[in-house]
Amino acid sequence: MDLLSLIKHKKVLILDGATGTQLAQRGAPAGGRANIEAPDTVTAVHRAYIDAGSDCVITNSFCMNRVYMKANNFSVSVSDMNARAAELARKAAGDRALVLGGFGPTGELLKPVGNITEAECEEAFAEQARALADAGVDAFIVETMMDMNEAACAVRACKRNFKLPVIASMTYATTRDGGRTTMGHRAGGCARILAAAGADILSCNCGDLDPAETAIIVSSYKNASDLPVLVEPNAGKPVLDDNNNAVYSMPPGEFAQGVLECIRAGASLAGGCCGTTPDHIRALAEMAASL
Amino acid sequence: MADFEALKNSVIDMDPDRAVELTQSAVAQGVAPLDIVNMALIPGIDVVGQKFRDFEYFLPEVIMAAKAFKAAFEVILPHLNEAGYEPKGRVLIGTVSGDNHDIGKNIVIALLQGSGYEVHDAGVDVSAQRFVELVRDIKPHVVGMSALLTTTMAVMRDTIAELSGAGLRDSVKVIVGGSCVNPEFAQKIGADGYGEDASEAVKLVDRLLAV
Repeated sequence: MDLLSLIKHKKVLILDGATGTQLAQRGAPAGGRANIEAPDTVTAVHRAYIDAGSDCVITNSFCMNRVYMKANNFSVSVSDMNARAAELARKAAGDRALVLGGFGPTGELLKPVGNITEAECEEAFAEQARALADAGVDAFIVETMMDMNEAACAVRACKRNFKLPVIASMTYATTRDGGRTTMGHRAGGCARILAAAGADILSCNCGDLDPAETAIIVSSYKNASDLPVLVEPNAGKPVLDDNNNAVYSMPPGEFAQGVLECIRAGASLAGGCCGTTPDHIRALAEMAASL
Repeated sequence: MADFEALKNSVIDMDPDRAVELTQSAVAQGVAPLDIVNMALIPGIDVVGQKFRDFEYFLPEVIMAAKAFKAAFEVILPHLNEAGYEPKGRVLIGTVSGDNHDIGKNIVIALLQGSGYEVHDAGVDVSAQRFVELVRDIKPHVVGMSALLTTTMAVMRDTIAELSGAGLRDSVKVIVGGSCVNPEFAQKIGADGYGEDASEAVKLVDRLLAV
């Protein structure tokens, strides 16, 4: 079943949780490098989420666009990297879960504040979309965007050549004014701009909000648009552990209770971002099943 | 009489053309270059920082205001050099390894230079070992580390440990900043200070070096 039909069939569709911390726990490098250096570990992380109840998993291809990869000295091509990420997710998912091709920011700000044009940005995303689609992903998810214009570039790049559904996810710095990103963009404005760019699902992930606060963003989205809404909050706000590492430590039960607030506000898809684990996803799935 | 208030406002209003024009006119009137910085440009950036903290300004406004500051400072720089100003101190600054975010770091550099410091930019993705090498080579009075990602904060802790291991910890003041960092963390890892934003970072360096 495709993503949009699945949403209609399930009260709450469950996505996956954090990938980076799970890779680190298993001794793999962070980010896209793991696809090359520890492919079995990437598949194991995807599998752990599916076993915990994820209906969809996101490819380990965050920021694997040409702008970011060049700035960070990757020696692999964009198409090889993304094809590999999609294959590893598919291997774990089989027909048990959908595979969402993941995008992150380029790391550059758009002109005139930054140095990259919208055309260059859109081209970079189009190249990544091509690689992910060719490798057979079921849908696209654009995440952790603080600039609605960059997010819109990514949505347009996906929609230009492919019919696959696109989820567009922004990251908020504050709940003020119904939610504003670091760029100052309001949640309501993001909803309208991203819907106009062709997004099928609106989302909010990561950022400075805890799971319950994320419900404010959901309300802003719902006031501006009829599109389905996904939430992927962090496991609370970071705190320092005994070794002065910043960790996200909200326990799974409390996390699921916070997400429940988002569902009451109108969200119909839920997953997790920084610090969430298969246990957080299991708690989400149990909470969703009880509704 | 130079119009410091108008120049300050040109920074707050993110208007590089006006900032340059007013700076040129102040220089032509013979105002001391550092007075222009200290009485107009830095106070302007202070207001911008406050507006950012109050969620009145967001990242685009801060970056554009920093561009106005920089444009004005570039007018002043040759006059500073001509007047034979000695730098107030030497600062080494970089974004820690695993992190490639340089917006905040670059604004801090612009402000430190603008307020009279010699600044060495170590760039982004700088490892603890690399910081130690650079401290040995450049002999800065202050080392500044920046991080945006919570996952990279530990590099700050490691850098301080490596500086101690190399016997260099007492030769420099270490300061940290970035959106994931807070005063509690700075204190826990044994840093000498934390800057909430770029103008606070300049005040912190002034305070640490007692200038």
